[in-house]
Amino acid sequence: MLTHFSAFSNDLEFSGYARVIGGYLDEKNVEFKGYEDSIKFSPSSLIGLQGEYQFDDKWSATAQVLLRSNNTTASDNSGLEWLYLTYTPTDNIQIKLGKLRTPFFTMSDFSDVGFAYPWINPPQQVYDTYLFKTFNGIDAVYKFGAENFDVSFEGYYGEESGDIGIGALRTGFEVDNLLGFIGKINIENLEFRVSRYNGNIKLDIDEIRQLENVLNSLNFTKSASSVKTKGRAHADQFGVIYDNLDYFFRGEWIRIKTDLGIVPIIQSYYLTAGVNYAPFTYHLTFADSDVETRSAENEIPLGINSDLDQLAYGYNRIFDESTPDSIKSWTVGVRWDVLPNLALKAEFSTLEGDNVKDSFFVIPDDSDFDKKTNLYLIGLDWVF
Amino acid sequence: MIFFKFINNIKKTALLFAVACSLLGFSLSVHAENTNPSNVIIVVNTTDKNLSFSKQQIRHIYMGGAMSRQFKAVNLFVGNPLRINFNTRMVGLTESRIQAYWAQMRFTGRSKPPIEFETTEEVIEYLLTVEDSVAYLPTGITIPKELTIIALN
Repeated sequence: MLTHFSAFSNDLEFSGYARVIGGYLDEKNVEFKGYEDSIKFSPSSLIGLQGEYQFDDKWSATAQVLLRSNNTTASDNSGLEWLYLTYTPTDNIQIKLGKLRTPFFTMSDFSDVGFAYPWINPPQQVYDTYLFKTFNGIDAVYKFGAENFDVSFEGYYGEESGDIGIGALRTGFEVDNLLGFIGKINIENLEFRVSRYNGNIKLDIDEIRQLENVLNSLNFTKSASSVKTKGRAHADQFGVIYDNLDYFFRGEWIRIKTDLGIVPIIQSYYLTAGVNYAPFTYHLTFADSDVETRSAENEIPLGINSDLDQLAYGYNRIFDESTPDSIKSWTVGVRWDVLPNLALKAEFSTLEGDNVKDSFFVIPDDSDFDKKTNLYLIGLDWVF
Repeated sequence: MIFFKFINNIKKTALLFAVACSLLGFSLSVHAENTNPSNVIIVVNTTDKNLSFSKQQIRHIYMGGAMSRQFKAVNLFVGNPLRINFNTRMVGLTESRIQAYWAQMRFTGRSKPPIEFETTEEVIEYLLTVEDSVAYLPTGITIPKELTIIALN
């Protein structure tokens, strides 16, 4: 038995999380997030390992690596999700410095830790947008508590570069002056979270930049401006969570806007209601997204010569390709907390893709798929 | 064709729920056995004999809120009837939700769960050693005079 205690221990601590997720899509010849009409375990299964060293009661260092079968969520594909120093100068302030996960929305910085939420995958309308998952910089949290509430203000600043996908378009990107604020208040069993972030983005697509130059040289300035690859971006979020012993409710709304004509405005939300029959949790979720594509300019005259026709074709194709995925879904699921650190989950989703775009589906050209189908998922989430 | 697919979906969903519901029946009986009707008291190692907490403050101390760095919460192991009683009366969350919350906090580097012990004797020993440590204990237990039983306001 321990005979001496201290408030902190000066040592190295290891922990981790793992998930095995199997999925089946009820549709032939179509793929959705890596799932097909045969059971697949690779798309979401992963293991995360974290090491933390506590220097004293104010300083610590943490590293977290994520291994998954297909790819990593870190923008540089290194698998290193977190690598940071934590400084806690007072009881109310915590500062993290280094490589961090982006805390854009309620579950963004722990979206791979399946044990931390009731679903198998957090609603993809909000969590699978074209936003990047990690950044290099600083994050500071100030918390204070009163008799009836607990409040936290968080700010972060940094930069990031890597690869992202906007619809079918994959591109290198750079973001600097990324600046975000999060306000959170807990009153009894209710939590409200409001956040906003801004950043300067630069997409690294030579093809589009060359097109922009050609359009400018031919005086199609509106068209040139509509395919610009540099500009401001911002996102807004509002989330609410209510939990009690018997039931819970979660809702979140987000909007992402940029100055770039080729990156559309996205608004997404989900609403979840659930009941607890310990150790079981049953939940029902509706999620939807609304994508507002900026229309292409009609400056380039058609049918005059083949060069101009080709230019117009290339120009319009960029707008077609960059339309992000938009889908409506109902999900019903159960989580069974078998052990305090192990949960089994099962989920059924009906998916209804927006009829103009691929909507997260990979569809062969000759398919008459109506973008309506069902997804079955089973999973195991473990923390250690 | 569509009709068959529909029937197939219903079959799969029904199977899922049949399995879930049979497991639910099993779990409810386990849950009932663990419920302990006795009250808990909140004990703190503090020099401030007039210290008092609201139920909300206790909850925030145990759930990594703003006061949790000053006041160090102490827990009994998962499954201890007193812990279930405390979660139900003071925290107002299921053990599953609490465990999920700590997974979130740990892997985002925000805070860590309270220290845990198996017995109330070990809890009291820890309380005596660490200033500003907070624990729940059963009513009727003998509390050393160095520790303060907190009034709830």
